[in-house]
Amino acid sequence: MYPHERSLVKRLAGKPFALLGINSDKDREALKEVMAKEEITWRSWWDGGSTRGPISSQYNVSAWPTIFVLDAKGVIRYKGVRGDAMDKAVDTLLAEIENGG
Amino acid sequence: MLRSITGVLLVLLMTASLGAQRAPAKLPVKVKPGPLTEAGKKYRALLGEFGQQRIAYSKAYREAKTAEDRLKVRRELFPQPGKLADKFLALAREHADDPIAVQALSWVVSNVRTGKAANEAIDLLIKDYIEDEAMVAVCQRLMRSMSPQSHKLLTEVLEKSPLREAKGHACFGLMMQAKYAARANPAKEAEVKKYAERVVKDFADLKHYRGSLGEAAKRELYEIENLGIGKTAPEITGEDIAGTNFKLSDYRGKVVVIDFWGNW
Repeated sequence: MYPHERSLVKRLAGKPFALLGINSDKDREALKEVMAKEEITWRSWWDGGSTRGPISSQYNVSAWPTIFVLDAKGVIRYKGVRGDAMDKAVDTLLAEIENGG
Repeated sequence: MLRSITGVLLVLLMTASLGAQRAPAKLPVKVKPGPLTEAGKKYRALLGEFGQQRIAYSKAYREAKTAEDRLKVRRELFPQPGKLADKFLALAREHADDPIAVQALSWVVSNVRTGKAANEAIDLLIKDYIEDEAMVAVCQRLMRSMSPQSHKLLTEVLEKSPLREAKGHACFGLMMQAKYAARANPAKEAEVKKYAERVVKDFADLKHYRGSLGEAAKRELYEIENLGIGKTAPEITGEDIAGTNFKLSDYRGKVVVIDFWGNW
């Protein structure tokens, strides 16, 4: 996942786009090291060190990774898209902004 | 007698699965106590055959020295229930009057999800055993199946079973099947809702692997109401990894990918 996400974030630098994570790791300090090593520059919420954390519970997440893609209004437009499908979803929604949608 | 032997087999099978990665996790269906009939002996022998395959696989996997060897073991020795499914099916046909028949059919649907044997086993279960208590387990297995036969079985159990537990798991299974179908076809969400509401109304107290069927169905209803395509994403607030608070609505005006992840 990381290389793909890194390239997405890099490609869309300067565009109205954000990748936001919700992380369910147990060890916060170890995670900081992983993020530095893997060049994970995007921001993540800390979900309390558990896969049953408050945000994962609020979003009914029971499998990882789980992806939601939101438009500029904060509306859920795609769920579960991965890889190229995720890129395509994001590009479609960015085009909506450019077209005044 | 049969129960105790099956118990030993179960222990053997479970022990065997500890040693290897991703050995098939499905356990044979429990057998009711009773005299060891000819059909019972055959059933036991088939379970044993599958158990031996698992043990041989686990042993070879443990002994494999390199990643390449492990790959080879996986390719050549990974137990394939599909190859035994026809034998269980034949057993059920030959001994249709023996209580073991329904167990043999349950084994097939528990261990192979698609293909001719799975479909034939489901057809026989529908035809002869729709009211049997074995349907409780069968319905739980079929919730992840997408075949028209499995949908038909769940529908018929919900309609015809005299057992509330079987009906409840059938209803829940239909909800799950609709949920998977809704991924490709959002119009199916109405069906998810229909079955989820029925579970909450009639079968809420029945046990689920995570709590009760009612709780699980309520999660589905919540998801439809709040997390469906076209719904505004619920606000998220909390600390980032470094400890700074931020919230999702800070990002209005931008396209946002929310990625639930873990480094595992």
